[in-house]
Amino acid sequence: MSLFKARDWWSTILGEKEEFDQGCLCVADVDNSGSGQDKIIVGSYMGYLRIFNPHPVKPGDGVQPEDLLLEVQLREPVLQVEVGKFVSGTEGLHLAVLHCRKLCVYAVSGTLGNVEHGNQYQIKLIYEHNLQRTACNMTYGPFGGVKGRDLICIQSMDGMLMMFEQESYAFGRFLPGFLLPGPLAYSSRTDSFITVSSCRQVESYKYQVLAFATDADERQETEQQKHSSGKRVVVDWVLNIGEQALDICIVSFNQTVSSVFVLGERNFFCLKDNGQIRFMKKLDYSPSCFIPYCSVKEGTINTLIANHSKMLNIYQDVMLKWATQLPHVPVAVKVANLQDLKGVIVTLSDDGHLQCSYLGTDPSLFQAPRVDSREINYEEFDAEMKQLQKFIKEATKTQDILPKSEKDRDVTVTAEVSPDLDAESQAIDSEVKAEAVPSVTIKITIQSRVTAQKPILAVCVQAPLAVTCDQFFLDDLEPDSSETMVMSVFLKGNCSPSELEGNCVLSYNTSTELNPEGIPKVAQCNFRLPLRLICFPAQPSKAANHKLTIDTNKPPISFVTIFPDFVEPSEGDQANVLGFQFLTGSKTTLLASKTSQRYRIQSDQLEDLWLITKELTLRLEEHFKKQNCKDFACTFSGSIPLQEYFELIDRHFELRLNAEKFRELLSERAVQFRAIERRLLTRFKDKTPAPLQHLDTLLEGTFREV
Amino acid sequence: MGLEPLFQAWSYFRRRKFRECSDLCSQLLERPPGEQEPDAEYTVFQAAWSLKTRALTEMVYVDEIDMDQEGIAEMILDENAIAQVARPGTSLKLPGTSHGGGPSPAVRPVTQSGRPITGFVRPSTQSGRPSTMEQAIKTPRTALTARPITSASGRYVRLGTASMITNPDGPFINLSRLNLAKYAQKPKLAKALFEYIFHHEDDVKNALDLAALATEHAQFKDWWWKVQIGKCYYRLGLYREAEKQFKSALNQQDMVDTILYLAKVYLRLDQPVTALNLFKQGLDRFPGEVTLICGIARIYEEMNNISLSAEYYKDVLKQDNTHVEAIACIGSNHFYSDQPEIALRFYRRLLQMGVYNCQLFNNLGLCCFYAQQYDMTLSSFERALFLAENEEETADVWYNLGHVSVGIGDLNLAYQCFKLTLVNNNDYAEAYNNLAVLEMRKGHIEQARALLQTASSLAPHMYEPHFNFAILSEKVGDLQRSYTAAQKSEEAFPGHVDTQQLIKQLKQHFAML
Repeated sequence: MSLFKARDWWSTILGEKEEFDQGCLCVADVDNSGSGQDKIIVGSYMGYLRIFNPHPVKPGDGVQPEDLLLEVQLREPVLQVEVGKFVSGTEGLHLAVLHCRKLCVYAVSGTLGNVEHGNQYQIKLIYEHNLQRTACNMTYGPFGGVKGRDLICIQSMDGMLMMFEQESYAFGRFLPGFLLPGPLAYSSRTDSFITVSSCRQVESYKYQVLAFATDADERQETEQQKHSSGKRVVVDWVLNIGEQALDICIVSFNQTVSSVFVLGERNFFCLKDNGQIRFMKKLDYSPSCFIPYCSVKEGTINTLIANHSKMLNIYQDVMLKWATQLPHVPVAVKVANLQDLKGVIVTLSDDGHLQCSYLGTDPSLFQAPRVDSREINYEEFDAEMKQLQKFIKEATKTQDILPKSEKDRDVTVTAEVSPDLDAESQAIDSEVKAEAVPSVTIKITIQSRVTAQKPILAVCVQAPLAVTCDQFFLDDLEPDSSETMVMSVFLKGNCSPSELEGNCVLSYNTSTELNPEGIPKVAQCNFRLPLRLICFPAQPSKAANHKLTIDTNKPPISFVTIFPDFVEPSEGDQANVLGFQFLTGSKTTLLASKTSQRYRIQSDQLEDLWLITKELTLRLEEHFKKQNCKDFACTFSGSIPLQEYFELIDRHFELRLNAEKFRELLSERAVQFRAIERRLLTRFKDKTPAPLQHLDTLLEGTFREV
Repeated sequence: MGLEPLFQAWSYFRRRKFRECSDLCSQLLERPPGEQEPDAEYTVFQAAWSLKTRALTEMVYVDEIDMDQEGIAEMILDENAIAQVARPGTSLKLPGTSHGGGPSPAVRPVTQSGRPITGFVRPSTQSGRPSTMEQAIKTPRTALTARPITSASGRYVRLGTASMITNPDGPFINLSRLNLAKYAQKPKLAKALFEYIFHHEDDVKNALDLAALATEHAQFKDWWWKVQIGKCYYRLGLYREAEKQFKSALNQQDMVDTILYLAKVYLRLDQPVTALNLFKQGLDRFPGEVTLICGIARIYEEMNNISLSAEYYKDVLKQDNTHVEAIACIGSNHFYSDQPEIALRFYRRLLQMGVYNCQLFNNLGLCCFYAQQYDMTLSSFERALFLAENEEETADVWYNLGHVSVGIGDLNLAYQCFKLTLVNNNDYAEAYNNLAVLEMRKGHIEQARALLQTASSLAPHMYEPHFNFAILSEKVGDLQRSYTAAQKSEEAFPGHVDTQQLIKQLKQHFAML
């Protein structure tokens, strides 16, 4: 994330499908021109060595033919290129090229032509060393404090440091505890090599110590004496940083302070000479390479860190000073003086993008892609808008979040209650204490005109009534098909129900084009259960505590006609007394007045009156409807037995309060139970087992209460 | 002409081409037949094995510090709580314990646990912390409101499965056959192996075993192993033990990561003040460390101390002015403190930096609207819609569009926008609430009531649906319901003046009856 992008000063793409890594880029005045102008030296894993001297006419120019001073193909991959005083007898800069099994040092020289493009450059091999082991990387410097020349140290893949005093091989030492090579750097102030080992430690080895230690080549022979000889390679200091490092740089921009910079995989460290952390910074990205380049302010050092999200961050110690966008992920970054321009940032990516850039306030050209917009044509828009509005209006009328009233249903459910009780009762687990609990069969038919997916039928009746099977999971219904289900209803609980109605609900999905899963829909129907299900005829009783008288505006009807299922026809037409015995045990008596238009219902218990009253009025209404008599009305003139009613309400309220209390008690116990569990958990987790202190008893007790 | 394969693999690793690196290592490993375990002194085999371990780990590496999710089980069976009733300002569990200076919910929306919504989504900001089991169970499970995660493993599990994806033909290392004690003797192998077990295999128990053996072998002198043991303990929920390990590691070597881990433990133990002190000590050691300052800012934000939080976020920006989280948080802070123009500048900055997503354009649109730059508003929302990745985001955009159209008085458009919100996200309590208000204006009392009830059941922590329901019921004369709803509203937002007035009025009514 950055506001700006790096301004391109000069850039080129090297070769085709070549690979580059950290060591492949070097910036120095390699041809000893003395002008202070740096050249860019790039080696590739394909064995090409190129030297550039970019001088664009104006910033952003591409590569000119004369910018490429030299391009040669060496026969082996180039792992690393370095420039230093590698040849004895001269202080001139020479180019060291590290191959897998060879180290070559070249002199680069140019002969000036008459015109600029007539300049000629060539390299001349000064000396080369064949290596016994596969090389990995190298560092150079005035090892042992020699003046005016640079020695080379090569780290091999299996952990041997090989020292070369220019044309001659000095010695080789194995690093202790080696597994995989880490970055290697030489600190001239302390005359030591600093690396990060596989143990994730920064380790520093003095050159002196290395020089006096047992020679690596004799290692095999002296394996046994190694421990006694006392000449093992001893580490100078160790700092555990807990991660692998990508690179190490040692800088001392003023004479007093020198710092070791370590770029880890997740953090960035600055260490003192003695291996203490001066500062560190946690990086919230994956860094790829870095270079500390100068000290702008006294006591601070500026560092360039590039990362894998194509960013180049510039830090002054730990403070982010600038962040800029690069066009590629660099594997190596350097700072160079090119064509009188100081501080050009040179970056190389692993697929060969070489770029020289400088910082500028060019916005990082992030162009938000355009949202596709149509050309504005107002008439068309208006027409379309109107049409859409119409659609919306239609849609809101027909389908809304709240359901619409459907006239013609695609799926219909009908329930048919058989007029007679089951010959053989289907009641199961009934708590009623009567000898026989009757049941009644209900037949539910589903008719479907469309495909209904996943239909589920649920039948519910008021407790204490119960159904033998209250849920049916059906297969998908085909269009114009029907299904029939049969179940029985019976009285389960030992009390009379508050109503004799039940309903069944069918839920199903109908799929549409847009919604293949289907839109959930519901069809339902109600049914009435016969009174015979919960009571049977009995001897009427004259005396009762509660009485209810209903007036009608028609002459009384014989019970034989309205209660055919309770009155034996043989008793004659004039039966005006009817007794009901509920399954639960209580009795209710129905009386019809012979002279006045009244009915009386009486019972010992108030709540039993209701069902019979309801049944009576319903049946009367039905009866008169059949006779096309419209002005039938039932009225109640007496005083409503409010007192009793209130008593019942009070009792109900009390029960509810009790239920609430029990529920609270339960939740309290549950909390207690969890608390004990928690304590036990702590106890068990303790390393020193403490006595349970009867917590287990408490747990069990609470569990029982729950 | 060819490179040494091991060197090539090592170079791939350095360039983060882990897939190639691991493939190359596999080839190297296939070469020596027979021997399955690397035990010789130094072999190419051993090096390749270690390199492959590291490459596989890096592929799935996620910084442990950023991972934090608390499941119901951890919250309820949290045996580490010290005081049930914490003093004001010392706990994150009680939302009301702010020092003041926090915004009121009328200005800035809150999450279910009562904290102001933050400007930047982090793993831990998403989960609320219900105070009791009962509340945790009752909490509505919607897509966007704070929802407790049913188990701690929500995120960890997914990481663990990485091993199956990368290696369809069996895991690279068979953990059950591993002789941990032997590896613990070899620090150079053990560290890579530990990270592999911890991050790639996600097998905390084995990782802990290995770390315990290794730290013993290192004579308890290696802080890195202590941090790893602490990490394992933290995963296993043994916070006190983890704290001990981290502290001991810090004594040996000051490290930013260790400080962050320790602070995380303190936060989990609900001791934000200790964590703050730790961060401040850490800042003395590592001045200007962004992650530490950011940690302080996050804690203050969670403690409802928005002004201090903003201060620290500004400090973050002084150190690192490309810090997205800080910019977003300061931006949203400005937005909610009625300075949309300034918020707009922060969000625009994010846009320039290349943040390009639906949420940003959503925020930009709202800022533009409140800063009265109407021309930009709609195009911002248009882009947001274009960029929306899932239905929740689309729902957010439509909701805001509805909000804007209410603001410009186009109620028809608003109505349709809210409807579209609900089409995209059926759990959007705010949209239900606003739709209800529109229905109320149209005089559809029944519908309004149904919508309000939906809204309040979806988001009981919002006071608006309760309050609207109270007003509605009061208008139709249902004083009882109005009173109940008003009380709920007061519970959700004690300082709401209108609610208080309504309750007072209702009480007068009841007294008159």
